[in-house]
Amino acid sequence: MPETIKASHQFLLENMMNGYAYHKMIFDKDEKPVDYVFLEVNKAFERLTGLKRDEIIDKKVTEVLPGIDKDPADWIGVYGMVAITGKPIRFENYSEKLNKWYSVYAYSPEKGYFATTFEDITALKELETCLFTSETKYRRLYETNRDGIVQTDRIGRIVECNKAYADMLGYSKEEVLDLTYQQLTPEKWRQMENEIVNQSWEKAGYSPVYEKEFVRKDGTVFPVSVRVLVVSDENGKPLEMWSIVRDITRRKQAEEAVTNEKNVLKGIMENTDAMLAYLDPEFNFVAVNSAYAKGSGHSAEELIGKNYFALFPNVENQAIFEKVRDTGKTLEYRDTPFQFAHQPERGVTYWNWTLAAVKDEKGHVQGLVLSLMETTQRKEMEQELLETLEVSQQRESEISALLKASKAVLHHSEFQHIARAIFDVCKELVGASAGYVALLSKEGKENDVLFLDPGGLPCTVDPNLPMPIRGLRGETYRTGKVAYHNDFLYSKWAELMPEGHVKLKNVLFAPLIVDKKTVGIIGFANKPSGFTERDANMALAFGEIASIALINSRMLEALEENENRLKAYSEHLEELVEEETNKLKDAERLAAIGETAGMVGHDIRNPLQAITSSVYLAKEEVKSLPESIEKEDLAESLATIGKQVTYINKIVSDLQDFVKPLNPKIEESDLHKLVKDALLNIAIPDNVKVLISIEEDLPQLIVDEYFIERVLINLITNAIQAMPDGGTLTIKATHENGMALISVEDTGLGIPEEDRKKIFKPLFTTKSKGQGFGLAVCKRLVEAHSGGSIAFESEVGKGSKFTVKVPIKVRRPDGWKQLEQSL
Amino acid sequence: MEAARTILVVDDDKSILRTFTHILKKNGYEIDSAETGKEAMEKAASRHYDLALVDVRLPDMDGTDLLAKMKKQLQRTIKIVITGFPSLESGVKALDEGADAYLVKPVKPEELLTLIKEKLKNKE
Repeated sequence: MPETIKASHQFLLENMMNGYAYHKMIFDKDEKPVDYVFLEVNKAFERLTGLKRDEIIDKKVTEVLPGIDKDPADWIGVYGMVAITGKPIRFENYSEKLNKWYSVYAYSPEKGYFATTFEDITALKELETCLFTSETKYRRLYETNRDGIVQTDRIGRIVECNKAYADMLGYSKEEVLDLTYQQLTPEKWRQMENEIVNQSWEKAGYSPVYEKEFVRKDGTVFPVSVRVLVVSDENGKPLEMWSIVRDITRRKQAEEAVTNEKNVLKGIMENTDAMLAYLDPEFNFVAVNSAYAKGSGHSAEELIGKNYFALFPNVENQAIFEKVRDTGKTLEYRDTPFQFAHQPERGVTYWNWTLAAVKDEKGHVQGLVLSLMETTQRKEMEQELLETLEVSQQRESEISALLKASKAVLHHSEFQHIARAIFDVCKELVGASAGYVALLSKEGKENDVLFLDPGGLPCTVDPNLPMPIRGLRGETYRTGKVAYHNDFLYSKWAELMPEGHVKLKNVLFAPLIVDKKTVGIIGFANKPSGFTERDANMALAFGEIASIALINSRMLEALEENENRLKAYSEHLEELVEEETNKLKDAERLAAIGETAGMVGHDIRNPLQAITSSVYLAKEEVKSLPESIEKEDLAESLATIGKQVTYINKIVSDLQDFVKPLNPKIEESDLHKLVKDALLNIAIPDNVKVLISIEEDLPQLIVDEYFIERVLINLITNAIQAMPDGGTLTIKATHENGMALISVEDTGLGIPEEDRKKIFKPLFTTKSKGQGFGLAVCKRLVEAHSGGSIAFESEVGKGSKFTVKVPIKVRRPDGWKQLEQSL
Repeated sequence: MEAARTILVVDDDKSILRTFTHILKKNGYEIDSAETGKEAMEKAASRHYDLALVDVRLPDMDGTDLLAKMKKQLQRTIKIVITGFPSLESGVKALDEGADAYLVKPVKPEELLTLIKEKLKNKE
């Protein structure tokens, strides 16, 4: 509110000499003016009329001055015309009610309203009356009057004037007396004045005060008000004409200023978005702009004169208004919420409002200017922005939490650590106060808790108690979807909780999914405001991260295991390479042996056949010789040849056995019998003691009898050969895990360290005399059985022990027997 | 005295032929020998032998093939197959072709004589 303008305007009105009043016209139903209300009056008004402001404001003139409607001056009718037509008028009239003469200027700043400025001219009237009765009085008045007084003749020649008249025109009295008033009047006023003068002359009365302009001696033009008084003789014949002239330059200026200021004020008031209202100190509306009227939902007519708090009752606001009025200090409020009592559909509206006190020059508060600016739209936008900001902050915290969780996945490899980190950030984000992470047990029946955060509440449940897959967490396990319940205590699952469990107000479970199966859950509980769909989505996202971590850590474990295996493998690579190379060498040797075997069969055995036959023939020949030393020597030589042939043949046989594909004929065999048969094939030297110790309850062997007999023969033969100076041969048999352990032990030479690796290889022998196939064949024959193996222990100088492992008949449990019987 | 039994010895090894012929003759058998399958077939076609001792490996054919080809001629002849490289396959094959025995070199002459005597006696 342009307080300065308003204030200066107020000041001007308040302090001008003329009375000022502002009224609202009252019309009857026929639009005929019937009354008017005093809205505003100044001090001069009080002085000139003798009416007190407090007694007349908001009062009808018919109440203030009863009977005024009967006044011949017809004040109401005259002012009604002004208020209706907007045409200002100036007139002079006598108020019977107040017993005073007034010169009145009435104008209408707004239709239906009118303002009056007036002066009391009662004194002037009195002067006129007594003009001719008291020469002295007249002289004094005449010369000392600040108004110009001039006497003219019928045609306008100036006959006499006072000093004031000559002075205002800039002439000396002598100069003026040669002039006519027409000469002193600009052309444009002459006709109008002429008419007034003529009328006055004809009725020999006085004219109303009229306004015109005069031209000074220096040519400057200035406004004046004039009243013409025609003096007549006793018969009523006009004699002479007097005019009272007043320089109204200052009044005109003041009036203009008021009009200007009113217009400026109005322009300002109407051309602002602000709703402006001017209230009197009792908070009655004095003026409002159209924005205010529109915003308040009332017309300006409805508002003016009404009390603010009668329309908008509000105790708090009233206190504020009173404070401003009483202290004179302006108060400003921003974005104050307000709800229109009569327009509830507008909802809560927001307002910036200023309440300023308007003071007079003495600092007394004359009224309050209320300026309102609706900020609802801006406020709503702000609110929206705020909400958007909140959402974006929420998103930011979500993203940073997810980032934290992702970092945890990258920085730790142990799932326990990662799960804890993910759980912590997620818990903080959703605002839960307790929770846990659990994995499905191997059997898939229980929830194995990795860790539990009871949120500071006591939980006395035995941690070793099984946590079956049921209830709400069961839902998550079953569906692989997030599940939450915000009224858990009263849910159907609450009764499943064990005694001493943390009190659960609300719970949320998100799945950990690996290979499309739910393998664990991340659970939260006790969020003060309850879980939302958003929380569910976030928990699901964190569950996914945890799932990735779980997959990662399982992969890492597998990787680590593989790495260890690889490491172990690479550490033994040399050995493995050697072993493989040896195997390859063996294979090469075997291939070579296989090739030779065919050749050997024929090319060695043919000569052997020839030798055998020849030895037979020779023996026959020798038989016929007479007894002699030579005959004995010859027989002995032939026997040696026979033995050597047998030996060569054994090599050939072993060789052929070795390359021959084995087709074991597996059957139940009695080890006692096999040992007995083997021993029958071997000549045991006298210095070798044989001990046999076979478990009594040893089950039947499930073997190829021929193979095992040959193995025993070979092992026993080797043992005997290892004890050239005699010793003990021990044959033992026990059983375990469905296998018989048959050992052949000697107390002989033992096998030197360097030979131990090669001992089962073909064509290797430690004996100076040996074919080198014995143990290789044994190994091959034993390994032809399911699970069969051969091993040895040896100590140089003490002896060796070869142990053969072959399958036995497995005894079925009793239950099996019963079952068989029942079938 | 009844007529001497006739035996055909088929082997490409001359030492074997010589020693077997010697041993069998000393034991009263009448011996013919052949060094190849072809020679054996010709001899078997010209006369009847009571027994044939056939080496599995001959220069021109397999001993068991020889048995197959001479099935008709040797229908009433006892057939003993001898090999230096015994195998299940060759043994089965020999028996399938009508062999009466399958021996592995070196055969002990005493055992060979016992077997021949037994087989011939059974044949009667």
